[in-house]
Amino acid sequence: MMYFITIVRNVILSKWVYKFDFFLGIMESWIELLVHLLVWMSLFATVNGQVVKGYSLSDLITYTIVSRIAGMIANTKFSLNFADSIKTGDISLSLIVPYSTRLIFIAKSLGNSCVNLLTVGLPLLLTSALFESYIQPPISKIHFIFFLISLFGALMICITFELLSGVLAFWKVPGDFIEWYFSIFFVLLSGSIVPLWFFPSWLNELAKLLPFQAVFFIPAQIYMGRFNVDGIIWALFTQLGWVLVLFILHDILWRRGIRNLTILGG
Amino acid sequence: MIPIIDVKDLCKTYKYSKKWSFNPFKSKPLQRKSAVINLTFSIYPGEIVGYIGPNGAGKSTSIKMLTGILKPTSGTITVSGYDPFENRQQNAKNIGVLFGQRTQLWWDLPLIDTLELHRYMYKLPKEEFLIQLEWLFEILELKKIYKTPIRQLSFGQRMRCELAVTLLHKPSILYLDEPTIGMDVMVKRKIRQYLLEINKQENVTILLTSHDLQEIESICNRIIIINRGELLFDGTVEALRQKYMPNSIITLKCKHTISNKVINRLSNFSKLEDGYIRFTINKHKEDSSIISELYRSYEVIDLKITEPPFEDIVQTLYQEENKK
Repeated sequence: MMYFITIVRNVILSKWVYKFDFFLGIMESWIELLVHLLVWMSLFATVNGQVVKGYSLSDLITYTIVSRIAGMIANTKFSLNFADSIKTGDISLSLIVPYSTRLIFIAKSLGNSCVNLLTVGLPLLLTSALFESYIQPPISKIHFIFFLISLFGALMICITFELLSGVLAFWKVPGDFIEWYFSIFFVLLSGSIVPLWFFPSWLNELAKLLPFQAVFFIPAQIYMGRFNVDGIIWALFTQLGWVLVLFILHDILWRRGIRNLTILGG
Repeated sequence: MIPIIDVKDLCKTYKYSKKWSFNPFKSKPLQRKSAVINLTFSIYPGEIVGYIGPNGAGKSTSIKMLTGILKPTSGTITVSGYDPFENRQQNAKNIGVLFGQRTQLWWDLPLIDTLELHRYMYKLPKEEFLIQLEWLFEILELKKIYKTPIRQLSFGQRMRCELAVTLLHKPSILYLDEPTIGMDVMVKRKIRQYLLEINKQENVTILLTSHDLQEIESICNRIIIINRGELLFDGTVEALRQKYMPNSIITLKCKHTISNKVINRLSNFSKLEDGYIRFTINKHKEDSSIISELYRSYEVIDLKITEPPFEDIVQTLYQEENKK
């Protein structure tokens, strides 16, 4: 356990070396969030603050901030790292230690999540203070607890998803390509920018069939009390199901890949 | 005695496609290339084995199979009772691996952070960790640099750090793939001494690949040579000499000029400056009698007998093999 904690610590320390980068990251996510919120405000200003499709401005601002929280924790993005180490053969270094190779990568990505807590979390706090009057508190304590559980589920989905896309590098699928491709799907279909409520119904149905919405949309929905208890349990099982499906797929590919691993250049 | 590393009929075949096709849907014919063919050897606890071969001979591939990174195509490997691929994590507890061209260090952090990570990785108690640190810092001269971020160190310094990380958990088997590239003479010598020391004190088994043959000769008590994936030679340096280059080189100067009749009997005869001549004699044959003959008839003023350098032996061996 201390081992994984030390990995997380080392990741944070190595990020902290590039302090300028660190502060730029804070600025970037702050501006992004601000623009995002201001777009909703000006859009709602054009309809004089009326309710659109059953949702008010306050709903959308709450949604944006809550889905940011989910994104901050769950957006791990280590597949590129994983794929690269397979491509360059550096994975051999994680194969000579008495720990699971995949756990090491996950620990490193959790380190990144901790860094995100600062670079995304800090501006998030500041902005929330500015928009305080618009933000709704969670419907009830139970909803809040379920929200925290669904955040964990979102994290697990992201981790297994990244494991799955990273492992494709065994078959020479370039990691950056996958990363880029899927980040588009992620942004669109996860509801991280535009909530699925505003999608045309066919796209909404499609999004619900894919794992992406379980990362941002489900936690935000739970927080805002859009689900009843049955709905919450159904949503959590959806998350669990996706974790299992993605992990099993990944594991099959991993086992095949590692047996045929070729490490080039010494 | 039970061998600590036991390799039987080890083969590794890589599949690759020969031509790069523009059409990703067209299936490409797979080529097979054997990197290691029918390798068999056993290494006993406490041996220092030099593992050598020309570039592309299959050294790294076999080390990767021994450490459990790659799965052998066929054949068996047993390292202290385990199959290193199937029991990778168990095996990893007892071994230390250094790849000269890859780094285990955290690029942006000082050495001490990587060492601490490895302390938890191998679950070392604190006192033991501190004792090891002191020893490693002393031997590898790291006292001045262990707090500097790795990216600010020179290549040689980095390799020393790398070695410290590899040795921290007192592995019982060390696989060193070109451990001393980029190090200066002083550090190289120290590391050799250090390797000999841990070998003697803690009976550590060492498998070492290097292109620095002098290094191999000075610390290894056994040599395994492979070429194109096949075992060429397995034995001591002395045995290698006897087998492939039993000749000694004689350089001498005589008072009188030597008659052509005698010269014709000398093998590899050549004239050097200042009246010196050089030829080789085969220690197995009766050739050495020729020296006493020269002594009697031509009054030898100066005489030097040298063994051929180890590098020459290996070079001859590689060349002979490549002609086949």
